[in-house]
Amino acid sequence: MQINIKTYPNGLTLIYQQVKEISSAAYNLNFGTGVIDDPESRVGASLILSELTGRQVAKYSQQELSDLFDGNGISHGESAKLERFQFQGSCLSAKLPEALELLYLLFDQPVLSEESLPKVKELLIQEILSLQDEPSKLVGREFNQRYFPAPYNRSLMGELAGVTATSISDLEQVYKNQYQLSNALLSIVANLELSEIESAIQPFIARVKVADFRADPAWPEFPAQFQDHLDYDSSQTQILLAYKAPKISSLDYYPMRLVNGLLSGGMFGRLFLEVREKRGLCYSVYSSYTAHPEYGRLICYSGTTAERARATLDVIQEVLTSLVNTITNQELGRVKTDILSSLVISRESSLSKAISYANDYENFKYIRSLDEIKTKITELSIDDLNQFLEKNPFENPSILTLGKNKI
Amino acid sequence: MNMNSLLSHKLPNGLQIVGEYLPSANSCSIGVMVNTGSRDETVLESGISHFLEHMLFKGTFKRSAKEVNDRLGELGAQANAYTSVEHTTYYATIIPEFQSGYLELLLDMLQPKLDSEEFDMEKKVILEEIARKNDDPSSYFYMETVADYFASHPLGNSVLGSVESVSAITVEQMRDYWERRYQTKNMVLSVAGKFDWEQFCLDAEKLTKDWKTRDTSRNYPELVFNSVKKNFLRDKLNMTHLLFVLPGPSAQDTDYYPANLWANIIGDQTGSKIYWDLLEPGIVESCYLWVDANDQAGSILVYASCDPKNIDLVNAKLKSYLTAELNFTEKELERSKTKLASRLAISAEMPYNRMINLSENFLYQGQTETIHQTIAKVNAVGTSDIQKFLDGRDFSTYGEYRLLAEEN
Repeated sequence: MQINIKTYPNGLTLIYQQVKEISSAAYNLNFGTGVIDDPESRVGASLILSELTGRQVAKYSQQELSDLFDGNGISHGESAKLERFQFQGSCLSAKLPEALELLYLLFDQPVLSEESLPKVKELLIQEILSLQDEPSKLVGREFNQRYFPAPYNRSLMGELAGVTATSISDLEQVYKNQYQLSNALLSIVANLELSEIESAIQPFIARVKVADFRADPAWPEFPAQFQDHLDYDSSQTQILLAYKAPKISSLDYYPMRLVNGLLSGGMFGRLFLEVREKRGLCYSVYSSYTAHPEYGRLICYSGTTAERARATLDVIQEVLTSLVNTITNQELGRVKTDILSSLVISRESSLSKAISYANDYENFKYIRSLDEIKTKITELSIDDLNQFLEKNPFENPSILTLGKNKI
Repeated sequence: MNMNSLLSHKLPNGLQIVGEYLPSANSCSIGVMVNTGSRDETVLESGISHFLEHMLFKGTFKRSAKEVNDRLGELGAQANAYTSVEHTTYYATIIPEFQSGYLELLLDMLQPKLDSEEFDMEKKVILEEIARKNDDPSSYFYMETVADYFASHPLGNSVLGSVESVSAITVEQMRDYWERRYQTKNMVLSVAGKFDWEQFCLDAEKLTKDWKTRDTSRNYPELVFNSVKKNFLRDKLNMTHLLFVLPGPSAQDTDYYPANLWANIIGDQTGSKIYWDLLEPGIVESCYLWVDANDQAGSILVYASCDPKNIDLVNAKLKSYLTAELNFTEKELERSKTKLASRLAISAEMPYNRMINLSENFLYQGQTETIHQTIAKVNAVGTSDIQKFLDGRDFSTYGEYRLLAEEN
């Protein structure tokens, strides 16, 4: 199905796909940078800003804005990620023009009021404190803090001190710096003509460009490899390991995706089979591959009771190091089918389509067709994967455990 | 063939098949929902429904556990299963070319071998799952509350069971449970998305031709709501958790839609009373009010987690909603209808959601309905229907539970 991509003079790029059979519609707007650009002593300011953005605009009171979203059946969410602000919404196609009109108001005229600020802070502070109660989430946060270089190791919940210290004037400055269209990407999926979409986003198109968006902070060499343990009074020990892996632009990106599938695909992945099925060491075990323009990493996770933690950690590492030269044709065939099926299935909803198109465009500067991905996946052989694994052996992981006893 | 109609076919062995084409879908979801869960267990079987759900992936008379997992991979099946208090569901979303392949595997899995070595190994996995849930404060709190409040009713039975009960379950008990509960008349086979209906029915009939069936039953004792106030304690907890349990409609109750609209007006995550009074001012970290409608019995649950300093305020505010008084406007009702209708229409484009809807429709109502029929029921609710629902409930007796840090 055809995907239209247009970049307007102010820098905004529109990605639009019309799907004739659907009655739903969805949008995803990425712009600016997120938490990494918060001032050092105000980490969390962008989170407060995004939360306030969804609450009130100059044209409407808080109640009126809420009524307009709900009365048109529009679900929406505004958030700050590490490197982007991300606004998303879904509704019936017939209501998309109203949704896009409201989206522009959120972007153009959010009300940053002294009255609302303490309420949003209170909410974020409770979320930060609540994380300490949940060991399976806490281990991920603690791991990233150790793994990534500053400012990329910041929490997506903000920091207690930064959230507490943020003032309205801080937020106004973040708004001025961040809410720009020069690097913005708006992806939309709906059953409307392109002309109707362009008409609905006319205020975005007509918005005057202020300046080019400044570059993100440079990435230093990382990670500093570490092995650490956090004492925590829980039944299970949380285990996280990370290995360096190919970046998104690497020729090794697809081999690594297949390797991750061999480790963690469906219910046939080797981690699931060796750690859970054969030995009954845990309930949850998986690997996950993240490919970013500046880094790649493979995470392995498991949570298990303290007395089984050592064995679990050992088996996970054995599974990774034993992969090279042991891959079978049947195994590879299963992984390829699994990846291709999940690609089709993950693009079933309008919102997941809109998000997936935006991610592709951010990462590859174009949108990969399913056929292109299929070719890249299908053409890889066992020899290719062995060569990749020999060149990139899984060694020297960073490891964090969280639980009663150090492993 | 009408590509938009609901499809239904009953096999001679009593197995009901339901389906629905979704014009925009490129995949299909296939599932079997068995009308059994923790409410159907005896005391000595506590946790057996969920344990059996795991064992269905651990081998059949035709396939070893590894062969089941490998076959799921060959089919590219995005497969899973879950157990609730009254249903056990096995499903996968697949691309249409694997329809027959997955159906054959799914129906084979429903005849599990229950190998004793696999059984012992999987028991360890279940015990780890229990440990994991216990480490999560909100899961732990919910499980403990429901078990305590409905201690004398099957709806209070724990889905996971306890370390003690699961440890004591034997493979013979599980065979007996499977024999009793996994009967063709006690399940529904459902498909939604892009698929071939005629082939689906032909395959299902052929694959289940030797299945025998017998009647099953479920007990429906009265669900009693007493006044209970209780605190659970936990070490080092930053948030305080609060849960109210009140009388609610069953899945078959005529009050089901009025109750859900009332719950949306009071407790939706946007624009509701809870949003404006508790979420928007940042008084709670999270707060939900929902209707837990089960087979011939139901409840309403209200949950909040917040900074301990806010707990009395949250408690008082939540209690203020739980009266028989109509405390909303026509405009609020209309907004809630629009929200619910829009969400239903959007979610219905996903094959998995429709497969689950169709299965639940059949098990609760004995028939399926299109999403348009469901939306029409939402839109038909008026203020008087909600008043009737409130008049029929006694909110003066309920369970009030808290999870607190020990030092509090």
